[in-house]
Amino acid sequence: MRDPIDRYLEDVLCHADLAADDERNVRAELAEHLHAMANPTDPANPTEVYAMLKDQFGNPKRLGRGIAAAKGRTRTYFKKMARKLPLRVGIALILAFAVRYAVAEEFYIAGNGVAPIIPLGSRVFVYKLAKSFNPADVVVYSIPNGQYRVGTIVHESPTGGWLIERNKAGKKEVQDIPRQNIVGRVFLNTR
Amino acid sequence: MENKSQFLKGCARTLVLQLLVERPMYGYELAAELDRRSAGIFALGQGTLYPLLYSLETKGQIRVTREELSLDQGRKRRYYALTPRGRTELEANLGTWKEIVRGMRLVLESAHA
Repeated sequence: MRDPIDRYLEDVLCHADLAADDERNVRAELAEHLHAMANPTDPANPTEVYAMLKDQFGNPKRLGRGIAAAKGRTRTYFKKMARKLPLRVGIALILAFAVRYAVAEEFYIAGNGVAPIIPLGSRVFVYKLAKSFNPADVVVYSIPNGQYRVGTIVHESPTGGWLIERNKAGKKEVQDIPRQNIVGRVFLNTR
Repeated sequence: MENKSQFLKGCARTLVLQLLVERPMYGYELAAELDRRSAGIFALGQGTLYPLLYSLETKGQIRVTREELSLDQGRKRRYYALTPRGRTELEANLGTWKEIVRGMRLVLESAHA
């Protein structure tokens, strides 16, 4: 069976819910007091010792709450927030990357492919879950050298891809782009 | 009983400050001194001393001046000492206390007369 003093301390501290540093200090300090209080030469059974502590030192719940209140409620609140911060930042990052990977991604437009609808230097968001397009939709697609381009949908091509029109040297150029090369539809231009 | 313990707690705050005027003390020492010098009246659950100490510490009336590690792992004596702010607080409390005692005595004695 566990040491009744440890068990009692555990009960007090679980109600105090302090930050790690504070908890270490309080635990060490109370442990010192409790060991001085409990008579080590008298091998009473653990249940009796626990009851004695509760009687002489105080109800663990009330004591834990008292300690939390004395340490300052606001301070404890901010410390708790700080403790949870890394986890929250982690979750936010994972979510951000998941969204970027699966739902929406940002692109910088470094050309005049769909000017004047989307001028050079725009920053756009692309909806990656789009499966089907309408004529005049603006889309981002990849080309074999690994770069991305923007263009407007003309219509679906007989090969199963999409015919996409873009400006090239002042003229319109239409290309047949395979379905898997289309990243998605531009839904927001932040410029 | 609840009433009495609240009352004692209010007094204990002043008594702890008063004891620390003499010398820095650690928790158990303070509890034992309070118990001994008050003939057991201030043996109110010894643990209640700690919320009191931490609240005085948060208010800047006492501070930890020394920590002493025990031979046993995870045990530590933390010595508390009075700060200037604590001394001011103590003087104010003692002033209030003397007034209360005087007022109580006057009323209670007049009741007997």
